[in-house]
Amino acid sequence: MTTAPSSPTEAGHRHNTSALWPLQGLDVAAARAAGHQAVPFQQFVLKMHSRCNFACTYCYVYSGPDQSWRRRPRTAPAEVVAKTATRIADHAKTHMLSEVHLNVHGGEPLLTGAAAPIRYVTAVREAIDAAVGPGFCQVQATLQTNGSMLTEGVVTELADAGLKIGVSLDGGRARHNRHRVDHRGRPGWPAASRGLRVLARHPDAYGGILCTIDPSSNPIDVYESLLSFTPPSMDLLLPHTNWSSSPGRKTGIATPYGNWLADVFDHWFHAESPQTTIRLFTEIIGLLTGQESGTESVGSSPVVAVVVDTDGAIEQVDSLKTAYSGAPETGLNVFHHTFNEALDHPGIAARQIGTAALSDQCLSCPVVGICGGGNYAHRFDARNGFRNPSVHCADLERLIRHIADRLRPFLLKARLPRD
Amino acid sequence: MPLPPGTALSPRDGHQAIELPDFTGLHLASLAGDVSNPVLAAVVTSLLARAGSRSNAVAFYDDSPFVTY
Repeated sequence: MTTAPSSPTEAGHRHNTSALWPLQGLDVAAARAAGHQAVPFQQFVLKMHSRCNFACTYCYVYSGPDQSWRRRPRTAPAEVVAKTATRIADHAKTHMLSEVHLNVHGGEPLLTGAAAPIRYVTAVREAIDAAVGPGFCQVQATLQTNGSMLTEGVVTELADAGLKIGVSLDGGRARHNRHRVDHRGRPGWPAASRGLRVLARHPDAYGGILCTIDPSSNPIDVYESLLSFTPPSMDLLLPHTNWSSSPGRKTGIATPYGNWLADVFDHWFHAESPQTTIRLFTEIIGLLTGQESGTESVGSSPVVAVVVDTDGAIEQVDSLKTAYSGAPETGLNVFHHTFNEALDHPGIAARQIGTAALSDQCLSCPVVGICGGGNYAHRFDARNGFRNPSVHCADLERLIRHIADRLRPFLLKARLPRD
Repeated sequence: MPLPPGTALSPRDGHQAIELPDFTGLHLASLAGDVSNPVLAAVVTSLLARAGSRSNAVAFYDDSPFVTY
């Protein structure tokens, strides 16, 4: 969960959202004709529970402009689970997918315990096996939690069912997590840290840690404190802000997030042995060395994630909720529509056409091949939509150039032959 | 305020017109065996594994655990 816009009205209630790119201006049929073919969904974010036992002061889901959670069922009912499983299986069969990723999400997906998420994942696995034959399509399942409900029993149940667990934190100490509180304002850290300690004893179930950056924190302290929970991977996320929800930066040349990340990069990169995988750094190194990105935060690879909410609505990812009320909506749901139909929604298509979705500013920038315009949600401006540089543009450039500088001596010293 | 949309990029805005160094086309498999930086070697090894496991690159949702191969 990341920073909410300072004012919901600023973020999107004052304009006609249908006039915003890509809802207005992206001709999906023309894009298809130009060679931008739809890429099947391969990651299904399954909303298990629409409420959370935490009330983080910055949470964009509950405090942001999109309040759609209020009208959703608290938990995904059996008919939504069954229909979603069928739709995913149909999608896997239509496209003969050899791999599907399920990410059980919330709210807090463990508010109903481990059994309900396991039933959801099992339903999808069984439907896929029935559709394409057992073993043809590998299903990787994860669950993203605030950690507070993780007990030995819950972790063991999830591990036995083949789910890996990711935990969202702001750092590895109480003071880093001061904004993560429950509905009475009590700190969530004691329960989350207990849960993390349990998870650390189950490396087979441990997916990793997601940490949104607070530039006022000490980057090395945050990184080292997270390492104490021995995560196999982590990601350091730029907060979900945009041009219409000011991140509070004072000038255009300040790069607080880039500086913070550069400090962590140096600490991580110069370790005597690898301590953990950091997704953002891994992806930037990959892009700089000519590989394609596997994450939406950098690079121009087509995004293959789609959300199914607790009422069966087929939606775009939650981070768009920071833009304006209803921004993630597609108008589709699993009871009446296929995932193939969702692929032609302009918002989905915009994220699969690579640099064709970028602004002229981005296309003229020497860093665009690496940043790819940054996270789509961070490009939003209430005046024109999502065809802008990232609000974190300067920070991304700062970090990317820093990493390139750090790589240079190793790559030159290696005197590597070119393929 | 951050750089507003529609504003041309310039060094004054913190953007540099300098091209990034070109590390593409290097023989990454050789780098994977380079222990002078074990973190870089591990990263390259994982990237090569991923490149070998997929025919087409795709991007996953940030607010979920790191998808590995």
